Amino acid sequence: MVDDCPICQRPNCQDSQFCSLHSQASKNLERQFESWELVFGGEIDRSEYFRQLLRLEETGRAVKEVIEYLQRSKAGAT
Amino acid sequence: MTEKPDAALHVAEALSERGSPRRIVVDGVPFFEVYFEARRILVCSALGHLYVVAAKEPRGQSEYPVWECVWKPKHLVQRGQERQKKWIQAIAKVSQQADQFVDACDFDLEGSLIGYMVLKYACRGADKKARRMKFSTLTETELKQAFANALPRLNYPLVFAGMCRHEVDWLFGINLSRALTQSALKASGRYATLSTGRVQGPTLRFIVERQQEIETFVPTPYWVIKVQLEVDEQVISADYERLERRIDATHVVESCQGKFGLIEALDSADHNLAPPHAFDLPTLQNEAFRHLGMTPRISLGLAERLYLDQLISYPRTSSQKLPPSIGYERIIRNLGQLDSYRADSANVLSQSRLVPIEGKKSDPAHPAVYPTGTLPKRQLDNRERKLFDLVVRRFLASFGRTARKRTIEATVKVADHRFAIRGSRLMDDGWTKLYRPYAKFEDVLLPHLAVGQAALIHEIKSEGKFTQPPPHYNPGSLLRKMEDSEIGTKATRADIIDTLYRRGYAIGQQINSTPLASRIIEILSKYCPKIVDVTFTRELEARIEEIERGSESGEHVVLQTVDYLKPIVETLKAEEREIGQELAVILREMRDQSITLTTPCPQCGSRLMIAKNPRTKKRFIGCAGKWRNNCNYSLPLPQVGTLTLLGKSCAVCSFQLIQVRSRGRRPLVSCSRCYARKAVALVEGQPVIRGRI
Repeated sequence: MVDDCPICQRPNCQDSQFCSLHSQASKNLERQFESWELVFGGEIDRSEYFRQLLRLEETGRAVKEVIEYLQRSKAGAT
Repeated sequence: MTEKPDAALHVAEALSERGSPRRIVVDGVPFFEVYFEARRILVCSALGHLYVVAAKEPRGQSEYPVWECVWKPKHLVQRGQERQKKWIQAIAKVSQQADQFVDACDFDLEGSLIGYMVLKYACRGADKKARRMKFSTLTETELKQAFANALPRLNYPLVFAGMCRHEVDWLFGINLSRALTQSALKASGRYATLSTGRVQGPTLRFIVERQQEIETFVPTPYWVIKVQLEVDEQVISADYERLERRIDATHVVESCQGKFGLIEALDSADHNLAPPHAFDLPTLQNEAFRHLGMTPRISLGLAERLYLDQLISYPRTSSQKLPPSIGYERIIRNLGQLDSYRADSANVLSQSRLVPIEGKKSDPAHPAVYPTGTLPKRQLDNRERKLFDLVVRRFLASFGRTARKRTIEATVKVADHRFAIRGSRLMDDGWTKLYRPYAKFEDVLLPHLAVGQAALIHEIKSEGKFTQPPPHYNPGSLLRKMEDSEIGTKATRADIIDTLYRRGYAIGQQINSTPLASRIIEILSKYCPKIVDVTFTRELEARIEEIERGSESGEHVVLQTVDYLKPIVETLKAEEREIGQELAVILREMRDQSITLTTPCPQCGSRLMIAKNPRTKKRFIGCAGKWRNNCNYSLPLPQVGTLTLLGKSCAVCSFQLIQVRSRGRRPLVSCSRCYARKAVALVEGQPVIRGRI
């Protein structure tokens, strides 16, 4: 069954809940968290990481959309 | 026969031995009659391409695939080509009296094709006996020489290469564009021109991929140390290596604060800066974009105008070389007659030898772009003057002396940390003086430094920064990317970039790809990835060059293209329904965006949209709340021209501004709300609100 990307309602790609653009953004988000942890010597948690990225203008639009989606999903779950 | 009417007049003037050429009009088409060595010559021109590729058996605009093509007069294929029809008929009529034919179209692929088609079809096979003039400037001397030494026959390999390129591009364009357009039309019921092509597809992919890189970019932090050192009672900046971790940056600052250091090492080196070579077209377009903000299409158009005015040589060239036969000294001396170049011309002429720097690229047909030395006979407009200045200064700079820059780097050790002080100075400005204001070097001056000298940390702090996403392409960098990827030709790249804007695939000088562009690339990558891959296009360019050299046949390349395209177009046809649905969604979104204002309704807060009265067919701004809460808010709109909602607001009332474009008129930007208020005020006799927009 093919589901739509929960962010933009476009068809999602294989092995991901997102479309190709948001899937790439999500991968980059995951990968770069390790760099941020290294930079801050492990003194940064995921919510701070997201907060920082949302305020930066360098952060890509699709990355911000993924963060907002993840934050909404987390809020919904709790 | 020349390619354009302006060139015909120059050729006629150059050849005329009995005063000014006599202008004869045949059925509304101008010819120039001159006498040269007692022979009567009629000089005529084409109007660019008078013959184009078309389907062998026309089956309607929507039919595809189409695999058989022929060359037909343009007026039989495209609408609104009455002038071209008249032109062909007049040339055909006059050519009956001619016993000799000379092709004086531009000596390149397009020019050779234009001349061949007219000679072959309008002049009934005269291509076989025509001679070919070869020239790079429209100056009298060169035209006379080119006429006297005309080649005995047309350059057929160049003609066949041109035919092949047009046929291949037509096969790609017609089949792929129709596949996209028809798919969208069938799914949405609305017509939208969607196009792709052999070069357009890969070019579009460049900007879409760059956009995706930017949109999925995650910045990472890093730290820089900003240091001010006091050396010899002077405060100067120094650099420290980029640091990945904040803790390391803090450590450097804390351990160096307020401390003294010593200059540990001092290096100085002189670097020679070679003059730039004269312009080939891509370099000219890049420099014009960089320094003058002109898009490649605009700079090419201006360069062609300067060429037709005899001011510069033929601009569609790949050459970066200037042969001595162009007459360096004469050109530089003539340029010196203009106030702006007097001093620079004298400077260059004072050199013992005039030898220009040349680049690696060459072109068998033309030298690099250079000023002819002919002075402007009319007042050049602002942009023409700027481009002319760029060409002239580049030409003069190519004769300039090598410039010399000295760089100094000192290493200062403070508490086990090493800081670098860097300075630079232009020791000999050489050619840079001739290429001002386009060559800029700013000196970074340092006080006298010596090994062992003390340096006090005057100020030190760490600053957090973030990595940056790659920059958007701009028309200049996209042109360079196409050139580096070896797709398109110097003559067509600017037009392809322009098409991306016209089709709604690209917006802005810092090129943003639109959602439609992303969807097109997604679809093409999914169903026919080869279309957006540069490999095939690059290989084809190489094959066309082989045709130009006479080592490949045009028919063979066209047949292979058909074999290559057939399975791709069949796939697109089979998946038409699915592709159409994907395109319809995005076209609907784009259409909604193009008619929905960002300013909400001032009465009920609903969306304001551009609508059309079904009875009167007049367009207006209406409120989407009409059906929900019976809101009757509306504003008038201009009834003629294409409307575009701008991303700007009115300075008076903050309402979203609208641009109206009509053919032959300047775009008009207006505020519908201020306009409506003004109209109301006039009717009611109240003072008119005058808003500056």
